[in-house]
Amino acid sequence: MKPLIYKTKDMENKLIVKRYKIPEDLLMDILRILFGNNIKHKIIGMQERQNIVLLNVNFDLNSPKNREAKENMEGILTDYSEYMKGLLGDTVLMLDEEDDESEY
Amino acid sequence: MESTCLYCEGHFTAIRSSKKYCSDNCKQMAYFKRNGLVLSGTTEVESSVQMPVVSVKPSSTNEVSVKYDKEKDAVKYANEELIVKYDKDEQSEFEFVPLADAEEEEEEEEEEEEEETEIAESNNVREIEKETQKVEPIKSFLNIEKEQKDENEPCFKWINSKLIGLIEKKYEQNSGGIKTKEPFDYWQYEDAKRIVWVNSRFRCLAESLIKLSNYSRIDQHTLLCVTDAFKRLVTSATFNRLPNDYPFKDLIIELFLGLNKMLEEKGNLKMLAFKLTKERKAHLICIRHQLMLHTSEIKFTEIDFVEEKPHQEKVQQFISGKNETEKKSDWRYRYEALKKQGLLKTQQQNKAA
Repeated sequence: MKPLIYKTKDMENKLIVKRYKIPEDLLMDILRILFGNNIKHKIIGMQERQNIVLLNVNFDLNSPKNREAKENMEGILTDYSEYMKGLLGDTVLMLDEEDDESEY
Repeated sequence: MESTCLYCEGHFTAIRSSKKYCSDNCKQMAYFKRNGLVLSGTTEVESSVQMPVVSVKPSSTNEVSVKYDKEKDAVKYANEELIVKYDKDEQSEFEFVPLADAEEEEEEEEEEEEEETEIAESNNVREIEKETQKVEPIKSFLNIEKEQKDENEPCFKWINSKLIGLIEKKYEQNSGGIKTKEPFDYWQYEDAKRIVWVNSRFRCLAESLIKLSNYSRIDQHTLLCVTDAFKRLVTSATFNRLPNDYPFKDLIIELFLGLNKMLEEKGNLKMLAFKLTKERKAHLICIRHQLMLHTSEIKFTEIDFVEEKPHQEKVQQFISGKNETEKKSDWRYRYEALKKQGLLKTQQQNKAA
């Protein structure tokens, strides 16, 4: 039987779900981060024409490893967005969970 | 009806025959006793369950009359006169003390209070010590557990993107350099003008190639258009007159040849995958990022390769008036045309006039 884990409200607030659009160029790097750190994630869609994968990632911000993984991922995506400024069109690589993506 | 309390064994007058306890307190304490509850500050179950509220009680209650004097706060209880003492906070709990002993009692009480406060303080200290003794092992255990957890959890290994690493490497190599950012500072005016013309077109074509490489498939027509655009750029007179130290000349030719080769090989396919190597893509992204800040943007649909005519040719056209579309307001051509026709007065002639 699994031990019960009680979470305080503060802890619950630190469990977040982030949504990312991962271009093909960065997919392997992002997957290395996710698999290497056992971070729960789910591929929820793909934009076939632009070779973009839509990914939901669950971060437990109580864990320093998760926090660093998040920083790592977002750092890569930010750098890529900077270099590709104007080439990605309206595509935003980092979204919140609530943001809708009707294209997928 | 007279009865005996089952808890304090005191006599009391009961209305009901089944009443067991003289007061609610006794009833509650008996309940605690039955359930083995230990009150705070006590060690044994049975000895702790004594809470005398009324310190003086008559031996017999047959002829007891109670009169309460509000002014004196005293009660006449049987033959004895008692003062009423009550806790200011909890006025419901009374304690009856005989009047004669009241003053002594007060003094004793003050002393007791002082002692009690001292005892209480010492008890508090002990309790705190006990609590800390209880908590500290847990704390230390938790600390150990945390340390062990930290030790067991391997450090996060920062992962760098290969593509971004290559782009940064290209930046470090300073591909293109500062020359392309400020061409008019490094080349002569005519050369710089050609470089600006080529740069703006090359930016557009590089952007197109980067975008196409992101797509899973492109159609043949798109590839044909891009190759044609490169061909027109490479074969343009402006491109051929570029200075030898222009940094992107070889790259543009290389890209054109690559596209041409691809078109020859895969021209028969309607849809084809267009991919750039990571190295090439990083190079293009780096160049495009550099050009982005200093070169005007042209959309691929609006790109033209109409070249600026050489200076002398323009002057000749202005003289003959062949090119009506040429801007007549361009003062430089007008000036040189007038000069060639001998219509321009010199400064001395102007002064004399």
